[in-house]
Formats: sequence, structure tokens, C-alpha cells
Amino acid sequence: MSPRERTSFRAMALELLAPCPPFNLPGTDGNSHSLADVKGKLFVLLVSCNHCPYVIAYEPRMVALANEYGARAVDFMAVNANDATRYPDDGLQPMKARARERGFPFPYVRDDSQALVRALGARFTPEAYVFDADRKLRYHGRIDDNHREPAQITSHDLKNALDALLDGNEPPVTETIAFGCSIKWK
Amino acid sequence: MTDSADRDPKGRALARVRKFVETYVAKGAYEAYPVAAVVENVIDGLAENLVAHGRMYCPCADVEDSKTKGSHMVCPCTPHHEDIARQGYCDCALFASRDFVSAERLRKGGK
Repeated sequence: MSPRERTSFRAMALELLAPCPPFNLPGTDGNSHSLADVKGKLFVLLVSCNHCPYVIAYEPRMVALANEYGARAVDFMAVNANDATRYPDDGLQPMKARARERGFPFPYVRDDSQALVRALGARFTPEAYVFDADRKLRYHGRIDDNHREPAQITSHDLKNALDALLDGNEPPVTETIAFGCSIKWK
Repeated sequence: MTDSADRDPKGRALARVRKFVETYVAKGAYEAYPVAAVVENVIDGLAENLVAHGRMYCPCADVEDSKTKGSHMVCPCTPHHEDIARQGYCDCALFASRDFVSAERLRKGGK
């Protein structure tokens, strides 16, 4: 087993109710974004990237969710931690182009050290984390159950979690299995 | 293979991909990624690409780009050995090293 492989094995998924790991990361908007900057009732952190076909399929839904729930004081942020040396399309400059093309209404930040995504225990893109007002983890997993055909979604997992939490209830499902492309570890 | 699979291209493709995965794992170099739902999703993506594009292009890569690279990104793709050596599993999370699978089982068992 290589040293890198051993390191990746240590990436444990963040437990429910665990606090959001602190971060301060550069965004495509030219600003730094930290956990302290997040003011919403809820905080949705989407582990994302530029090149993954699953992410590309989900981007319109990510934008729609951010627009819909942004009006209800839910802050969204997307973070890209993929190794930009092996995948240059995931560097900050291509990220800026993607954010502009897609009209991201949320910060899109670059986790070059991969410290945040490792602390989250994330493994795939896209992978969603929902934190409550105390920034404790309340939902982790997929956005929904059909990346290919939005019309055939049978379980809107992220949306269901947000609706429940905004109504003061527990999410009906707190953890689902995320699927997509693996994070490109350094 | 069932009659319905013969009539249904996706069903036929799914059967072919499942057989390929089973055979590849049986060869012994790697195991299937240890989360069945993730493996099923990759198998479904491979079957979709087999139907739509004629080859088992990796669903975690852009198919149009993959088409320009010959068999490089056709499962089992060229980089999967390197990816598994680096992180324990291939980029689509279909195949994984024995060490990774063992570590995951221990982690889940310890919860």
C-alpha cells in the first residue's frame, strides 16, 4: 500500500451533528470565503468540480436549488478540491469560467490543499453536506436519486432535508450514498 | 440471458457489463468497490455508454473526450491501475484494491 493510499484511507466521513470544519478558501469571485462569512439559517456545502459528467448534469439543479432556497436564507457554496495538476480543468481559472458560464449564484471556492474535503470525509463529486444554524451536520449524501433524468427523480434527498430543517423538523433521511466521480486526490 | 434482455438493449448491455465486472474481479487483481449502490450506479453508467456509444466508456469521464483517446477510457481504463495504487479505488469507484476494501470493512465494522 502506498503512503498516499494509506492517507486516503484515513478520510473518515464527518459524523452527523459534527461541526462544519473551518475553512478560508479563495473563490472564483476573487474573494476569500470562510465559515464565519456564512450567515444563513442553513448552509449547504457541495463538493463539486469542473470536469465530472455527474457534476455537469447536476449543475442546473444546483443553481435552481440555490436560487430557490437562497430566498429562504439558505447559503450555498461549492468547493472544488480536485488535483489541478493532473486535471488542469479543475484549476481556479477554469473554475472562474465555469461559474460565469453557469451563472452560479453561490461562491465556488478552490480547496487546493484538499484539507476541507478531507475533513468532510468526502469521496465523490457531487456530494452534499447540510449544516444547521449551529453549523452542525444534519444531512450528507446525494442531491437526489437520478443524475441523468431529472424528470425521473423519485427521491429529492437534499431538497427534502432542507424543507424539513426549515420547518424545524428532522430530515426524513439524514444520510444517503453519494455517487459520481471520485475526488482526484493529490 | 433472458428473452426480455435480448429485446431490450439496455438490459442486454447491463447483463454484459455485469458479466465483465464479475469476470474482472474473479481474475483477482482487484475487488469491486465496497459500496453496492455505488457499483450499481457505475454499472448503469457503463451500460448507458455501451448502448449510446458502442463501448464501455468510463461514466466518470467526458465521453466525447474519451472517444478521442481510443481505448484509454474504456473500462477497464488505462489509468485505473495507477488510480487504485494512489487512492485505493478507480476514479469511477468500480474497482478497488483488497487493502482498501479491507480498510473499509474494518471502518464500518468499528462504527
